[in-house]
Amino acid sequence: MVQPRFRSRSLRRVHRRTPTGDNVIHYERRKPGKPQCRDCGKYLIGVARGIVAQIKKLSKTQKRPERPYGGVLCSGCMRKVMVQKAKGMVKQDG
Amino acid sequence: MVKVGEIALKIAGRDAGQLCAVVDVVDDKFVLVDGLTRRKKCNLIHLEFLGSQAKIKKGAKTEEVRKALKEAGFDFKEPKEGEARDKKQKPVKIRKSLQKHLDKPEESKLDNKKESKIKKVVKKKTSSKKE
Repeated sequence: MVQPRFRSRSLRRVHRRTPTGDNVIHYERRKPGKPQCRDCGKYLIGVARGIVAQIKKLSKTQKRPERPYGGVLCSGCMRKVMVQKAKGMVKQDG
Repeated sequence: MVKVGEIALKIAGRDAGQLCAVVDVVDDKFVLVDGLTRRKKCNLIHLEFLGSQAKIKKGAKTEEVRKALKEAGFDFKEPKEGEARDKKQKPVKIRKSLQKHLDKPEESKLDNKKESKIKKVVKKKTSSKKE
């Protein structure tokens, strides 16, 4: 019989084969969803994924790209933001 | 063609959003860039030119480029260089009993043998403190 606390589906079930050959079920925490770009909704590359407790152990540089808006915007959308910034910096008088 | 001294904003990578000026032209695609960014070879696609010129020579040093950027009318804070921080000197910790011995050697109950040892320890700690 399943333990009552494992009856809910908040933990995911992983089938594992033990060294003795038994098939057992392990209960593991679910991963959070894929991080997406704030502007275009594209899935972000270079952002660490996994169980929250494991990711917290990583260093800052391992968690997200090392650029402005890293982990928030995709590289293309970040470039658009920077181009806008550049337009603001152009001097009219020369 | 891009000329030496043209001011640009870097729009890609780790230095994105930083001011820089062209220091050298490598070929029709790449330039050497310096200023608030790191001194790097950079693709022209990764630069947004601001249409103004800094008065620098080819291969100018970082400090010269930053000076020229300021003269061209761009205000910025000098980025912090990776200088070694002033290490706070920790107060030398000595055991209470030893401190008592140092303050009032007549009243202390420590032996003479121990005394010589203690003096060595204290010498070590105080000498490292001065340095």
